[in-house]
Amino acid sequence: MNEALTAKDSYAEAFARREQSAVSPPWLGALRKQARARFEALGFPHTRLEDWRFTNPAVITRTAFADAAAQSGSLPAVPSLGKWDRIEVALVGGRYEPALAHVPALPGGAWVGGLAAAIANPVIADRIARTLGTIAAWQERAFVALNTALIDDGVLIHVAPGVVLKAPVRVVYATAGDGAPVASHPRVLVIVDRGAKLTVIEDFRASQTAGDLVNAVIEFDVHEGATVEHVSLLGDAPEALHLGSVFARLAPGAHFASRSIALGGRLTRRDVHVTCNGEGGEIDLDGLYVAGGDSLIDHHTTADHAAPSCTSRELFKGVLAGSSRAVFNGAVIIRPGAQKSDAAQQNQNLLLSEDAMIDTKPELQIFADDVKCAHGATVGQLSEEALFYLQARGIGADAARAMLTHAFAREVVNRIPHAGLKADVDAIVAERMNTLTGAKS
Amino acid sequence: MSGANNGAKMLKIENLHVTVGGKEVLKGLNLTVDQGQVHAIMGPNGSGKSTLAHVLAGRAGYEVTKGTVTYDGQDLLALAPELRARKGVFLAFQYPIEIPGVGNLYFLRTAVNAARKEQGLEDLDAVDFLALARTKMKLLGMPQALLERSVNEGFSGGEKKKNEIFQMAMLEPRLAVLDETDSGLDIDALKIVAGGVNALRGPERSMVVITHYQRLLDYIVPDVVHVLSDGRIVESGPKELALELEKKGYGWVHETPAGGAEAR
Repeated sequence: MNEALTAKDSYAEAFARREQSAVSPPWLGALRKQARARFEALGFPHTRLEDWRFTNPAVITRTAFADAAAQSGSLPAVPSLGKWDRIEVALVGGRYEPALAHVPALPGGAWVGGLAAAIANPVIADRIARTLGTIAAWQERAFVALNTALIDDGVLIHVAPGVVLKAPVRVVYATAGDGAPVASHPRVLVIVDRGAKLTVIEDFRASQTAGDLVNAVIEFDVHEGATVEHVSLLGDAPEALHLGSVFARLAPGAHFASRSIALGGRLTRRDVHVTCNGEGGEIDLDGLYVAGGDSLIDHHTTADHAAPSCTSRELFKGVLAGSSRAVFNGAVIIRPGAQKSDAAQQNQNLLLSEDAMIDTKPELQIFADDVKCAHGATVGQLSEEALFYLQARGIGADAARAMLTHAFAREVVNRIPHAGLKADVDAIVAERMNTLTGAKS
Repeated sequence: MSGANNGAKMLKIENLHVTVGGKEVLKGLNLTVDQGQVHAIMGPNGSGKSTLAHVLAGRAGYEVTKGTVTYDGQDLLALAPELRARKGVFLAFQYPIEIPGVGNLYFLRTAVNAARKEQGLEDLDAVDFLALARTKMKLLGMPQALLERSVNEGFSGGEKKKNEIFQMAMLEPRLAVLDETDSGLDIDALKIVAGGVNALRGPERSMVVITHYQRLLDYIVPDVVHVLSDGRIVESGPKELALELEKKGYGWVHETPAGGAEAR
């Protein structure tokens, strides 16, 4: 209990620093203050809460982290991706780092840059004030409240009505620590106006440093008929602590796809919460989690059908080795009056060892009668028959396992529409399968 | 490779006993295949034909309780399945399985390069490999588009069987075991598959062709025909033996259990 108190107190310094922040328009000061009060009231989560039943957050809630925003150091390396057109921005310890950004001339009506700078710019400030914190559920979730209480920089992406941003935007998250555990609370706000199109990649690989915590929140405001493609990428870092929350609000006819690729980490918890607020919205939620050693990867998704005639499609696949654990909790909410809702959810798992474990739980809350709602979960092993077929052609047992697990995972990767990104993610996943199965690359 | 040396023993199976799920299926099987020869093994359902094929390839679940298998002077049973394959043993499966998500081309290149590595050869690069694959596919009348698909996924029965022979052509094994390659093929497909197999016949390569029906042997003409019954070779003879079997049926060999060549 004392440890927990110390851990909680360790944020006092960070709160005090935000009160002195140069980025403090009254609305933001008020938001931070309310969020802090909410965080104090909620307290850290624990396994007695349904939402954290399978994932013990003690390793996070009992550690006193230093404030990453106060750290300075040399610039971290940006993780590599293939050579294709993209816009690059970076957050180091939650702070926007212009030296790592690559923002070419954007089409008129598109804004990609630091959040603090945008808040200081009267052209966009009002829009931010009206949107930031209105989508993320900081009133209900302690870590989201904590993140919100500590906002003073981040990334803003805004795409004006009808604008198609062809080049994907990559947000690189990095931690520049000196070894002592630090926590960063990066915040990203994405506003996509009517009929606009955008692809956002959250690349967390450079933030997965041993012992450090990343508590990231990204909010998407997706307006009428707009299309957003979102991919988050977490690598294999056995000692990293990651909390990532994705919140999206969809207007009528909006299309939002979010794909979570999570390939390791000591504790990874991702919450993806999408609300269809207008008729005819479309949600695609996909995920791939790959864990070995004693990693734990937890995905909680919510497809909230709050308006009629929305569809949600969900495919989460997991590959677990060693004594790793994974959690998949897929909530589908069909609100009263959300007739003609169409929801389908699939969770498929491959267990490569007897000690690996998956907790999979669909959570359907249906308050309308004219709806389609399908869900299914499977847990299995690699096909002995397929393994033998590959071996009988001279492919070693480990390589054959890597090939088959990669094949299993590929169904999720193949759903990424951007060809360059898909190829990159496929190669990263293939490499991960080699390390997971002990095959040489 | 030991060079063309007809008469050298490629495969020597002695007194092989194998149990599957606690039941003895092979009960003292003897078989010797010389280098460059094609041997046919015929027999009724349940005689142990497929068990023999799987044991040679090294499938788990088949327990060898007695006997030895010597391949090219080595103890075959001591080798893992992938090592057998890399050293030149190839099994054409009776029921090739579909492996969604594993690309045909990638799979085959990995397999070919694993064998090349074993032989101390350089990897084939992607361009050379593709050119070679296209040539061999053409010989088997296989659409090139099949290369882009996942292994056997959505292939027709005939395409799956052709794909086995195509893989064999790419891997150039020293000992090929064809497990009922004719099953499920119409006569045109059978001719193409047999043509593919015949093109691979050579003084350094031996084949064991397992079949229920004589028909296949009209197109792949064996040097020796064996009859397998109740886990033993009960009759061996020249290719005419197959025709005799076709006429008289398998019942005929059951009546002469002391039969022939395998009595030692």
